[in-house]
Amino acid sequence: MRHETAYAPATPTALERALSLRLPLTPEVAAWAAVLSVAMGLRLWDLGSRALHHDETLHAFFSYLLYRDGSYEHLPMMHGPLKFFLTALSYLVFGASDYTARLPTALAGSGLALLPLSLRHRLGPAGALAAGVLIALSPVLVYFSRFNRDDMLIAFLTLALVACMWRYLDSGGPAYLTLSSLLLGLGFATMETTYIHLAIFLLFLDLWLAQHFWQQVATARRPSGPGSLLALALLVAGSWAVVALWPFTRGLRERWGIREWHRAADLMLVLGTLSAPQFAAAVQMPLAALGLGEDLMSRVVWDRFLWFRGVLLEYVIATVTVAVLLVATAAVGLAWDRRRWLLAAAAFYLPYVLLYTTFFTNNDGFASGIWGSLDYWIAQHEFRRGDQPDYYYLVVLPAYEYLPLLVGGLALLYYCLRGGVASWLLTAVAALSLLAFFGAKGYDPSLGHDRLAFLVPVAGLALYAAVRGDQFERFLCFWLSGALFAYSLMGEKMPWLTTHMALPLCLLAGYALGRMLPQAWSGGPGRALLWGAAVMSVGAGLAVYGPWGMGAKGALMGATAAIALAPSVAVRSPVATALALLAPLLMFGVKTGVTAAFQNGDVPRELLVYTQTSPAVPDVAQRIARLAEESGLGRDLPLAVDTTYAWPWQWYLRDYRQLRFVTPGPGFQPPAGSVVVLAYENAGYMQPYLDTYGPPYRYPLRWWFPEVYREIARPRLGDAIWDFLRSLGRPRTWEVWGRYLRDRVPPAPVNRNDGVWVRCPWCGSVDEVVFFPAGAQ
Amino acid sequence: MRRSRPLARRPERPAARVQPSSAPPIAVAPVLQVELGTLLLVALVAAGAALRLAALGATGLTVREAGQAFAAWAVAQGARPPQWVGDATSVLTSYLFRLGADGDAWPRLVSGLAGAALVPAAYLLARPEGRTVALLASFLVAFSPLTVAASRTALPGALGGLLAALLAAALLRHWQRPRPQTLWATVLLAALCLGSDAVGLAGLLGCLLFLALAVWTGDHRWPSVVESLRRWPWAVVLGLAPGLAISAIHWGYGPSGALAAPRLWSDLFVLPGDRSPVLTLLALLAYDWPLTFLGLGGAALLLRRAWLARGLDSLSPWERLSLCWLAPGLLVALAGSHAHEGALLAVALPLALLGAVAMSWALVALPWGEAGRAWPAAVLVVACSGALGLLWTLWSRPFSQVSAAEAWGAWLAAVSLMWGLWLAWRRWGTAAAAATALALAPLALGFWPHTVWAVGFHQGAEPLLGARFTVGRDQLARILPQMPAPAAPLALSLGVAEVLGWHLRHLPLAVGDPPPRSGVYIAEATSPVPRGFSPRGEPVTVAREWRWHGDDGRRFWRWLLLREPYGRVLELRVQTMVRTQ
Repeated sequence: MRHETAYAPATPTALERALSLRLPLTPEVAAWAAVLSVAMGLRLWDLGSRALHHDETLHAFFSYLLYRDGSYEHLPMMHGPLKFFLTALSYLVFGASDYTARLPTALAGSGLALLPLSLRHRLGPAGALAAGVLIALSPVLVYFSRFNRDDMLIAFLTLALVACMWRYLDSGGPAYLTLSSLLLGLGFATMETTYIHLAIFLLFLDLWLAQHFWQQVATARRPSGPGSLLALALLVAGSWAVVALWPFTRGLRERWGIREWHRAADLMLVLGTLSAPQFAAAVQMPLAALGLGEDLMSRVVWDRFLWFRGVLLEYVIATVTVAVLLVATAAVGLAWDRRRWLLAAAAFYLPYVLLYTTFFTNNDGFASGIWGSLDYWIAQHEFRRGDQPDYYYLVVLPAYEYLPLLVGGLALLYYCLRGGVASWLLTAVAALSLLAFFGAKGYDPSLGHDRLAFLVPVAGLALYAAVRGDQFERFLCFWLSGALFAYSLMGEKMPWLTTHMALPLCLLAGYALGRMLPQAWSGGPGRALLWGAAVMSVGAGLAVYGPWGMGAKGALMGATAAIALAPSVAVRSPVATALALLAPLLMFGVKTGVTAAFQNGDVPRELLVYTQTSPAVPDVAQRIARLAEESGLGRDLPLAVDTTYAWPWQWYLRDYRQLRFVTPGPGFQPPAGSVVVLAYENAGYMQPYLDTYGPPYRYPLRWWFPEVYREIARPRLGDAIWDFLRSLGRPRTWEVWGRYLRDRVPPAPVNRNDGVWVRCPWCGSVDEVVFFPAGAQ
Repeated sequence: MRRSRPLARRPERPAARVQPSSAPPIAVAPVLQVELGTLLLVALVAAGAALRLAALGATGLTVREAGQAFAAWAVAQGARPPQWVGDATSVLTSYLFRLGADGDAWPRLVSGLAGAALVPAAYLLARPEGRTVALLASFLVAFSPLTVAASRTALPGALGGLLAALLAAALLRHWQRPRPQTLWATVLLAALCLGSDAVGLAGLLGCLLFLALAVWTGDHRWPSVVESLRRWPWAVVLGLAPGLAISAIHWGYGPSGALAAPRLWSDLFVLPGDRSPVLTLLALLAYDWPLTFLGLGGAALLLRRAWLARGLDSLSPWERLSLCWLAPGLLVALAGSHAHEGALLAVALPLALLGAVAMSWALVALPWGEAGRAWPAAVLVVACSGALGLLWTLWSRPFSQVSAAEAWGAWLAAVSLMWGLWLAWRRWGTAAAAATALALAPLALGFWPHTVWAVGFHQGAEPLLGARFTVGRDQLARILPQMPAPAAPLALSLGVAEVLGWHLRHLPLAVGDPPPRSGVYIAEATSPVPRGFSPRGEPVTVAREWRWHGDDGRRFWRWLLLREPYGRVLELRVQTMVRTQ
């Protein structure tokens, strides 16, 4: 007789075993699950409700063309191709809408909150968790996760790259090197800020290697004081060259005693060789200094060469530079380790080439990416888009990142100064060098600060040397300071670039909190900390938002502090006391983030909202859609839109087949029965047709924050700092800031206070007028 | 002086310089332990329920759904329209209406709930085959666009599918270990299937086929099953009596819709039909090629095993039952002339079970751990399929021309793909297959949400769902109250009542020839004008239906991506007439 075993299913036992695996749910796992849930909730909820920013509409529309027609050509003005492919994929999977246009960045922003987990071995369990919480709740990171720009993708890729770098440094696993290359390639296929981040990381590695090699030289050669300093200076300037030429310079190295390699050198070599060709366009800067300016570069060298016509000098220089760099870096990489470098190069170039060439359907994209990206943005540096002052990010960050800025700022100061007198001196050198550099520059960029450019590496070296102890701490300090410096120096300053400072700030603050939390938790004061944090948050919330006078608020805060901090003082835990004092900042940060993301997302009462499409635009688009439906014309409803402001209408009206872009002027005649959208200054051209149209509706197309912070700018940096310090002594300054931080009321005169403007009466705007056919409303 | 010790050309890498974190560790202990399999099942059930129940009214009812919903609504009002079948879904929906429910989401609720319950039911059914197969079956049922479409419709199918899955699970349980409880459940569910719908009947037929096969092959379990019938006849009676009673009288609606499942089943094959089996097959591929290929692959694997062992008894009872269930399902797909999205569940469910067999086989047979070796194959697949996809998208644009370079590029990509895969197979063997499968998996995983979104949440052109209403219907609904004598019954022809009845249900309606009191009569645009009435305005297009036309691959591709119709669109036009005498 048969037995049941004859039917025994061929189940994969390994899988069955895996499915029976019991996953332990520790408080840490639960906390991370909560971090992810909160991060996703803040980023995915109501994602499509905010009007799409001008840049977002460009990205959303060109992604739509890629999704609909399969066509995409890289334009450096809109950064790299990855965002377009991800957005097109989002459309493909979930359909094209405002929500799905922002989905990739929202998911990247959610994933970003989990990434500190990959640095847990460095940040520590509590530090990683604190960093995750700060990233998940960061107002800047939440706002720009809900924004179709490259910044959040870059933030994700950069932090992932940092995690891979440190994992490689700690474990030496070759997979991390390959993964780093892949992330770097995707970074270059995303946004040009990768140049900045990579430069910071490579400079850090260079200094690390300089220290490493210098120690070997010092041991082997025992140079005198000046000789040692000279060797250090040479190594600082050229440790990258020692790494690159390592296999070719054995004799020279041995003479100097440099024998020991370092994993940081692997990273330097791989990241450096893969990224060097990306910097090809920078060759124009020395060439320009030699007199080869833009006019010469655009000169036609050959009318015809092979199948190319009108070959410009720039093409020739670009081709030669890129080719030389590709060959040279490949030679260096192959000499280092053929197999590992080829693997890394494949991981870097495959996605890069596929994305830039649109999967080989636009082969010019490769040249446009490897040369055009940096070429375009070098030009933009001079153009200074936005024309913001150098201290721009020092205004934006305090308005949002309360807890990270306070903890991260103090941590930066602590790590820089804790090494004793030498650290104090080096920190002062670093700070004064940068102040002198920016001071020479002043508010006017034409003042020739280039003469003091040598102060920048001096400041970098001083900062590197000032931070003593853990190399990872040094890295976090270096990354944050480098980002603040680089983005302040860049000609273009925009609120979304704050993302790249908020990220290292959250990490450093998380790292510092990770050191404090266990001290405040273990040994008893845990309950005191919880009590203190809760009471302080409630008390501070009441004091800030309560309707009482300043005296009552002060009394309330005093009483709250006494009640809240008594237990932690009683158990003699200064760390718990400090953390309890800081707790309200987390609460205010959440409030600020929620207000910015959900309430003022498209209303420029926020510093983060920059020349933003007003919420009236999607409302008008909805009215048009309603008319299309009610008229029975559907997508055949005729529409005429003024070319003065073709965007954001290209995106919002993308489905209408009878959409016409018109240039109003004398004799302008709207298409019969059409909805007409004109710039406010052109609305008069509709005068002859008003009898066939309903009453015109004026609304702000784009509006912007009243940039009153510009007023503290002075031609001389010293004056500006002095004025600023004096203003801190005036109650009015605190009143203005307090009002802004609490109610988002900027200290600016009211422009208009009717219609949509009631949401932001201080904001400037460019306006449009929409005319609906009579009877349509 | 130079040192004589030679230096290795490749620099030596020092041991890891781990700089341990200075943070003191926080001691934590697990507060709870959850099995990975349980966690995955919970996630699948939650995802399945969310896909089926979220925003049920996001898209308006289709014309066929509106007809079904109107019949249920009319029954709830005490009427008995001719199109009333009395299937379990409609009966339960009419109960919802009697309880006060109203709106487009409510007619879909029964199917939505049944479809959500189908995910754990599939797990329950496949559990005897092991946890992996059970989870894979649940996964396929949870995310398959066909099962989602069948669960987000007012048409019958999901409830029958749920009953059939539970019936199969009970039968298998009884087959393995006869018990009075399992016998009772099996008989009860079989009787309930008779009153459900065509999908329920397909499941019942599959179970009967399984039993017949057992008798034919002399399965050693059959005598014990027969013995159980003899030992516990009361269980049969207790199961059969309430089951048949419910199926026959429908909780008080009387016997007019008794045993709806056989009638709905036979309706699927009535000639002339409204869709050819070719279209149904195309729908299976266009809406769920992963499920179709996996399911048929699983069936082929089982048949091959049976063939090699010279007998079906080499298959487990579960595997035999899945194959038996596929037979009536394929009959619906290949011979049905009216197979709508609900009825296609009859084939989708067994395909999901067999697809789980194929996936579990692939998980064991392919060397996934070695897939990394064959990464060039994966890169080739991604690059070539990406390039081909983009080229097809470029070419499928209206009025686009194919340049010679693009054509060569496409040929190059296709030939590279084929040759590359062949070479990869020669070089890496099954590791290349694993790498290729890993590269293609995101394609399949991307296809599913795209199609689920299309069938569940979007108003695009969907041949699977049939005709959709246009804005003309809303225009009509807006102007009707402004017609003369709005209090008098609005007369609708029989055909128009089936289409527009649901949306005009809150007006006083008269179906058929206009009664004397009616001032307004709406009929098909081609129907004659009754005496005493005259047409008012132009005929209005209230619904459109579109199906795939011809063999235009490029336009089909565009439909696949964007849900854009091409070629001829069928329109349903109605004419409003007002009484003149």
